[in-house]
Amino acid sequence: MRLQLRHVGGLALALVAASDPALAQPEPYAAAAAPAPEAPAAQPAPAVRSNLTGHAGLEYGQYADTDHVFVETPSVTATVSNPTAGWSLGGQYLVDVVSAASVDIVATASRRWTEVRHEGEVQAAYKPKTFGAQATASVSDEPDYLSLAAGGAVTQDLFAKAFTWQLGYGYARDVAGRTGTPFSVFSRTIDRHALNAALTFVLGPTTLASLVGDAVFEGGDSSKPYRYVPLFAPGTSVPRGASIDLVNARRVSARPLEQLPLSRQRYALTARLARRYHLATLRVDERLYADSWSMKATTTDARLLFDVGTRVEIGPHARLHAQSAVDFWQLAYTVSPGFSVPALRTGDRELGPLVNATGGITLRIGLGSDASPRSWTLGFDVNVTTTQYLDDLYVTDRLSTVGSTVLEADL
Amino acid sequence: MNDRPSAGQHLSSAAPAARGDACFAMRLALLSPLLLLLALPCLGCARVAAYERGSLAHPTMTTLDLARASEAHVRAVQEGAMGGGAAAGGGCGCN
Repeated sequence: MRLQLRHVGGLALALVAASDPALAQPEPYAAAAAPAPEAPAAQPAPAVRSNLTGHAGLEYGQYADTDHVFVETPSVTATVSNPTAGWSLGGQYLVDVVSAASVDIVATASRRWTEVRHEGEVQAAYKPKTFGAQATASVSDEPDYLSLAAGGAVTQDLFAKAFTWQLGYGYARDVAGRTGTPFSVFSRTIDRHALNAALTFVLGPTTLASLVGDAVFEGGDSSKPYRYVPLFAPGTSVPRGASIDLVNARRVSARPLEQLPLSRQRYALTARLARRYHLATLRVDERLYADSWSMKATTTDARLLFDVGTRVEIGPHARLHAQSAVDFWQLAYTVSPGFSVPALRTGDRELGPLVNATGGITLRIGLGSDASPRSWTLGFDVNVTTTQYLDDLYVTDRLSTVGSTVLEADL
Repeated sequence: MNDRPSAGQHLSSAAPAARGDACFAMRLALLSPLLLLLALPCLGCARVAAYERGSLAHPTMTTLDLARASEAHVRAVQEGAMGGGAAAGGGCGCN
């Protein structure tokens, strides 16, 4: 049994692959468990075979973009499970080392900075038969941000596993501050409640589909305490992609900090279809998103994975994401007569209209024995994304790449 | 200074044709996936015997996202519309 860790709605919820003791139980164990009335009493007892399995993984990820942001992310995961009993325990630890000299940093006359984030997560799951439950807890710590999260979910297989439902809830409490300033002096708290409902359908011997609904309710001030927003006098012309020099030449001297609304409700609906062919798997995802800040988005993700022999798996990946701007987004915020600044203002271009197009490739090589070639796996993933910012200062596009090298073992 | 258009005038007049096309493309991109969502429940479930579940048990046939941790993290930063990344578990009878 392999455990897979995934983030859910910004909260570190983990979902566990379904386990069916009847299917998972190896034949030798089934024979040993059966009564043996013919066995003489003097015969030595059969060796007790452990039902525990383990899975461990090491990943090293790297990110770079044309906005001079670099991230290195080593991580380690480990899981112990008993497929026969239906339980599993696991954990993950990762470190993000971020080095940035982006245009937003340069625009505020700041120097390149480097920051380290630590994240740990533990999860447990128990699904002895068709009904199961899982729980997870995580902590993320960096010099100016602390996030604590916990969550749980219940799931049930119905109709001979042709249909599965799942309900989940997660809570996160974030504390945002400023680097070098204790949280007791300056901090903001953000609370996040996440609800999740999922349905999985087996559509046939080779086809699987799922429909997932998410609702996330955030409360608190998530404005960045470092992000200054340039203001302009009424009538000032500022073109899309205006340079730092042009913005500085035309803006007024006042430059207030970002101010976002104090609550946000996010809703998403995700459909996923997976189909297995003779030597390939096709996966297509579609996600629709809307929130109370009037952002709407669509994300389409497709992967085609080919088996090349018993040891190699390779395939392309494509992803397209398009989103509209939040309702208080402006290319150039203007001061009103009397020098009053807009109550809501942001310079976060991920809140503006944008389109992301991603292309990538996945390669996995089985390093195990001939009997079990995938028991040890070396994997490489590379994705290149081009982003078009449709209504932003400083930049109109960005090219980024993220790659990872993964070594996994089933023990 | 007086000959400069206002910020609002500039925004509304800057390459109006291009902005209109972008707006149309955005709306089309937002609405077209509804077809996929509407079609999904119509397909219906199928009972598949245990001996027929070989393909469903393949590791790539999970309903979970196959993105690596680093890739998922980058998405969360680059896409303002985070959330909805969850996936249903089970259903395939595989381990």
